[in-house]
Amino acid sequence: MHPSKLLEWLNPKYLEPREIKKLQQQFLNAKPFPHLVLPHFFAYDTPAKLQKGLADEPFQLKDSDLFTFFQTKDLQSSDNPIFWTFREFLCSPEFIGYVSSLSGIALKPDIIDLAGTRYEDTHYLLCHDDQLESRAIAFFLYLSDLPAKAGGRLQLFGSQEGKPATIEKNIPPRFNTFAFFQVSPLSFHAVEEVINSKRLAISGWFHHAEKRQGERAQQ
Amino acid sequence: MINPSYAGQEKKIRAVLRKEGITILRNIFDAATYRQVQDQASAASLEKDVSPLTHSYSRQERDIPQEVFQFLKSILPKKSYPHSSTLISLTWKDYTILHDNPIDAKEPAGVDIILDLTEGWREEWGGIVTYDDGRTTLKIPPQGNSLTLLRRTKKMQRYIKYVNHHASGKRRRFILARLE
Repeated sequence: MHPSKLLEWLNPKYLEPREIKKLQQQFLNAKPFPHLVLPHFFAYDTPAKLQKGLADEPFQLKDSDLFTFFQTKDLQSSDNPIFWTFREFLCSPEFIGYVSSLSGIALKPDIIDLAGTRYEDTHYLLCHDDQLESRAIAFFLYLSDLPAKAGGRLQLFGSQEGKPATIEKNIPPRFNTFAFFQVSPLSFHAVEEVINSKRLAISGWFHHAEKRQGERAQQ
Repeated sequence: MINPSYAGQEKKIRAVLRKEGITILRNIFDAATYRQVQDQASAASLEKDVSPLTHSYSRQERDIPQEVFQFLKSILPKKSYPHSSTLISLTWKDYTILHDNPIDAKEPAGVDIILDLTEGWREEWGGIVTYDDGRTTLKIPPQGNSLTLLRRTKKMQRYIKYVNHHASGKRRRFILARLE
């Protein structure tokens, strides 16, 4: 691990060896499937700058049976330098190594998917597992605070016989909370309908270091 | 009984269905019959059916209303008719996803029947029956006392759009059937 680069971006609390050890166990033991929720994750004014950057970014409506929400193109193609440097940090060997260390999953540096999402009133994303190609970890940086009555929670489902059962955990969006989970055949999750509010986030996937066989395409 | 204005129109309805692939017959029942069918649907004992990956709704298998059965036979006499149909009831958070769920499963080509029993339902609330053939989508507009006949190709799949919070406290009811 190379803490100097991580120290430029992250809350130093998350780089303390004791905290890292605790988080590694938390990830492994998390129910209904491995995940972490890290409040106040980024240091300084990074989240505020990202939030401001998204306000100027073009969004497209994504609407289907499974979802309705607004999404940017991959932020790799943004004109805004804040997203170039943010993306560069997220797929740097230092941060990839950090997330690998917390999760115990070997991840590929330099490769991520990254987009802004905006859910408005009635927008939602129904239950699915995210499995596609080499996706290893799904991550989210929340850039909104939503009260409970506004919905928009990330909902994690337990499973029975390989199918999602009931919602076992609700993760409310909180500004500058970074959350991530292991993508697997059992990582069933949804975004609760947003009610009379706006939910802003940047999300994406880290990928497996090795190409895996036998992964099925998502519906 | 069926609205008398449709008497003698079977050939025309069949021609529209053949040409356009869909026909929506509004005010299909007279007022008394519609009220009766609605009341029966409201009183029906429905089973909540939830499988998060594919669907959430309440349903009941039941006989097709006799008047509808006879009317359809006069329009499409060569079709094979099931005697049963599915009463679907949707409220906030209900939906189906494009998938092999029990009511939208991939089926052979045929004619879908939708008998809408809900008054005052707004499209922006969700609950809209939508057909998707991979290139285009077709939404069936919600209108109580309407009978939709849709010629469904093998590529067409059907889903019901998620019902959002603006429909909280309300119910969308319709009857689905399929002719081969």
